[in-house]
Amino acid sequence: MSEKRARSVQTLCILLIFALFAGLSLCLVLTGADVFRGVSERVEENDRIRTSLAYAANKVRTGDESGALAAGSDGKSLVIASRAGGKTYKTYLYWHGGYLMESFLAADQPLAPGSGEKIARLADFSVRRTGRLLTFTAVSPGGRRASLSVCPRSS
Amino acid sequence: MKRHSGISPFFLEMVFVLLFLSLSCAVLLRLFSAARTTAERSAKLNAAMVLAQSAAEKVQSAQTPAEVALLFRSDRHGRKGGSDLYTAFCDADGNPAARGAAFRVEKAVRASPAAPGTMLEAKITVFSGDETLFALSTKKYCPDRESSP
Repeated sequence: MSEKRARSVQTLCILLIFALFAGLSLCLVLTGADVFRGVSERVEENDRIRTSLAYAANKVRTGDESGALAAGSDGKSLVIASRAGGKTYKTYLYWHGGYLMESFLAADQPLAPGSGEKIARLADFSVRRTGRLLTFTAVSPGGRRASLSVCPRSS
Repeated sequence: MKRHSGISPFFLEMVFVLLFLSLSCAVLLRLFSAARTTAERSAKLNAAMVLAQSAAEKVQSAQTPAEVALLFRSDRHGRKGGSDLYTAFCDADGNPAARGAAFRVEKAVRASPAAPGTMLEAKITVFSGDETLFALSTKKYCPDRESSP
């Protein structure tokens, strides 16, 4: 009788330990997944903001000629004029439909916002000119906001 | 005659597995915490770089030494080691905030004569608490208005 009881206690212990093992494993997997999601979201958000601001700043640097840079009247675009082969072209960097986009068009061609090249997914992007400074503000889909000011050397 | 210990091998195995799992848990939780800290630090460094770069561009946009004071007029102004020290506080997104915010941006601007103009040297440092996150230096030559063409 006592041997039978000892065996059932032992079985119960094994079951408890197994349940603990299963619970801990599940906790570990869930915590790991949560941490990984958080870290990757943060990294992605950082990348989006940094990439879009660095891209806009580099565009200003490459098109830094007197009178070539203008902030769009809607405050959501940057227009860079350039000349090639005797013709004038315009590069538009603008926010449309949740993306920072870019279009390169002949100066007389109207901008079709949907046809541009997608650069980065952003909740908002704005361009403001204050004195000699061009200030870009990018808002990530997660709501993080960052602003970068650039002073065109030609201004 | 065979003697039974009373503990089944499966029970012993489970105890060892649990022990090993606890050790793995401890190591992994430390790794997760390190990953989170690194990601947070990376985000902070990113924001600090953007803040420092913007401040450097502001210095570059000044055409006269007096204009620097105008550009940083919303900052707290002081003097330190022969330089004008402009201090601003910013939140985690880099927006202006009250004292004690996530970041402190210090701009130490020194103007020295470099005939026929003035050389502006700025050292920009971004702090998070007492920790220096990022620092950069920039120079800007401001020609005298009378001597410039």
